[in-house]
Amino acid sequence: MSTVAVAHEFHAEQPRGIWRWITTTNHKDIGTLYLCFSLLMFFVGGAFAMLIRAELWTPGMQLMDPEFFNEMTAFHGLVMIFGAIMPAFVGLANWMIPMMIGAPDMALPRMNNWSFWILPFAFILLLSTLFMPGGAAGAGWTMYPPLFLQTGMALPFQIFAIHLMGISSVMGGINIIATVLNLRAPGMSLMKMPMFVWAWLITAYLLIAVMPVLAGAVTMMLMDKYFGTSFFNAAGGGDPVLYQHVFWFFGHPEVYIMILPAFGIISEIIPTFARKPLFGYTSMVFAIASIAFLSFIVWAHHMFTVGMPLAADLFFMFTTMLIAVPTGVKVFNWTATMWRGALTFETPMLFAIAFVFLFTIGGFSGVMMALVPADWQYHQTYFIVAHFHYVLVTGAAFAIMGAVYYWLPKWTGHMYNETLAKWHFWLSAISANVLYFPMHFLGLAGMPRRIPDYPLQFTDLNQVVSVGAFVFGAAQLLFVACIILCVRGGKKAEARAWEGARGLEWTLPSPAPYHSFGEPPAPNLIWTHPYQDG
Amino acid sequence: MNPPRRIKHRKLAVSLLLVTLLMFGFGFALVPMYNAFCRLTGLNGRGVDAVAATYAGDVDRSRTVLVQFVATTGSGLPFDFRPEVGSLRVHPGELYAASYYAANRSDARVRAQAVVSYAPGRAARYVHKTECFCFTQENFAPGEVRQLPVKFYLDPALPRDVNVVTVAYTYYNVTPDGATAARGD
Repeated sequence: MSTVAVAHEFHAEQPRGIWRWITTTNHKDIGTLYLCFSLLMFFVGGAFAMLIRAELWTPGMQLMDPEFFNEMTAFHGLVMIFGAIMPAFVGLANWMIPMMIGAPDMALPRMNNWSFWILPFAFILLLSTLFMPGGAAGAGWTMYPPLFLQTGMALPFQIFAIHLMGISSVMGGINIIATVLNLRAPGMSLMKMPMFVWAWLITAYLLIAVMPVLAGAVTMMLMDKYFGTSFFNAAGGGDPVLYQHVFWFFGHPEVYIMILPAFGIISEIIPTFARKPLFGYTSMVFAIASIAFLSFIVWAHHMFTVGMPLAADLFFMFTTMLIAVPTGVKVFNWTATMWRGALTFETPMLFAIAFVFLFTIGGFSGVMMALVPADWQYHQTYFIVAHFHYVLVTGAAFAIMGAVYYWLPKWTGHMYNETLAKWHFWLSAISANVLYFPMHFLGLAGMPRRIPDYPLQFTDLNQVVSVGAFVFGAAQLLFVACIILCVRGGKKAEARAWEGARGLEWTLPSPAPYHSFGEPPAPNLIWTHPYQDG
Repeated sequence: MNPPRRIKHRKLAVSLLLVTLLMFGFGFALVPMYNAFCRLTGLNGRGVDAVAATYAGDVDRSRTVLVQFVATTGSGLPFDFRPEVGSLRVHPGELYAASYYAANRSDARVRAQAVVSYAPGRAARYVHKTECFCFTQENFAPGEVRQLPVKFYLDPALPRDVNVVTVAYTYYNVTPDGATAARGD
């Protein structure tokens, strides 16, 4: 590790205190910034969710006026998607990808600094609209016109915030592609890359392909509002349904941007704790690639009820159902990886197994909604809310939590408190199901989403859901406690913190030195990689 | 970082940036693509708004189609707006007249624009209008009440299985900003 020591001396001049974090170009620092930011946003978005569930505790209006409720449903979605889940994945990519492919840092470190530091400003801009006269935009995270265009002076601020988030994501995506394609250690061919790196490479391509389309859609709305164009204005010959097409052309790849990195994480964790190589590595890569491709030709399944021609309905129904095939390949491969493995159930593994179970439930309700005639019943009800929370909370968010527990020893040099972490897991896993499962029934019974009031007969189930929500929210405080305790101390972690862990990041000491792989790792280390058995 | 690697990074980053710009343009390219698609399928009544000035075709008396009229008032238009006749039984090829009732309930001048759409979508290209208040923007004085005429015929080529055609008008407020306080939003 002499190269590490040399690198440290070379950077001895680096600034300290807050200035270090503002000017840093180190991938580990930026990864940490991203992860802390996303944790903060997770609690901001979570607070909005708590307000929503408090209002829905009983029928009638209790705590807030309906406009504010609409703002809460919109901002809960925007903050969780663009503030919590996406930055968390980018943070994990920053921390782990260079160490997993034996690179000294990200390919474009200065741009990396930029792409993070845009985010806090984007979210200050976004959240400031809540305090503006006339109120923030209460048109959902999908921002459909004409409702969205009726927002007052908050509208341009929100649109610029979306632009900034898009710029940040695109820069992050470009950086990750450049790192993976140009900086792999000698001997690490594409098909020897860890699954997390593969998943992120494909996700990064999705990011640069669709974030600009969202930017275009919100720009068109800005022009409709202030420059007299009529892209989405029916009175001027435009069409609000066009917005839905443009939005979902972005929106569907976007939901895979939020799940493919999770697939990568699960494909790292399960082999480690099953002490077996990942089953079907090649098929996993092709499954991710085909899911990414399919994501571009299924968008209109979000809008079956707008009145498309039958042929279009059928096309989008069949392409959507096709996605179940590569997704099924992945679920079966994870199961096969665990089959006859020497399983142990540390917290990361518990999150990974919960992911496989609960994400699959979300996948099944997705297939149900792919059916055009059935979707007419589910559309805009709590059924869809249940569906996307199963794939995004017990899917994406559980994968992120699993990843944090999995790599915390590598980041901090300490083992986290396993008892506390298990409490966090079990409380989260149980309360998430109490929270989201009854939503299926509410939706089937006809309770619409984004409405602050409901008929009397939905009261019992709504109270069950709200109790689940409050417990889930409180349980996340344990998550923060686990992280803080682990940063401050704990059992010393070994370089290979988990017995079954393979991959280059575990050849580095724990905590990982500030500069790693100044010299590329020896090619023979790459062969200890778990994926090459089959 | 050695120079060749830096050049490699820059080349890749620039080409990825080009992809980004291209996709930004693609978002806008979806607009004409969508309009072309709608014209092709007759969705939203696109591409059929031209005035059909003359028609010398045959009237198909063997066939009767029910034409229903629907009115929707766009948000921000302080109008009473409704069809004067709810539906007509028509023979394809024959010219018919219908009318809508519109009353400006506000005490301000309002300019309004009607947008028409048809159901089922594939019937759109077979509805020909020789006169329609949707062709132009109409100015209403405060409190003005007006009868708005529509003259139309159905193309005899209308598919045999279409027996009901719904003609839906939505009336929008297009008064220029500042000209009136009557905008409801």
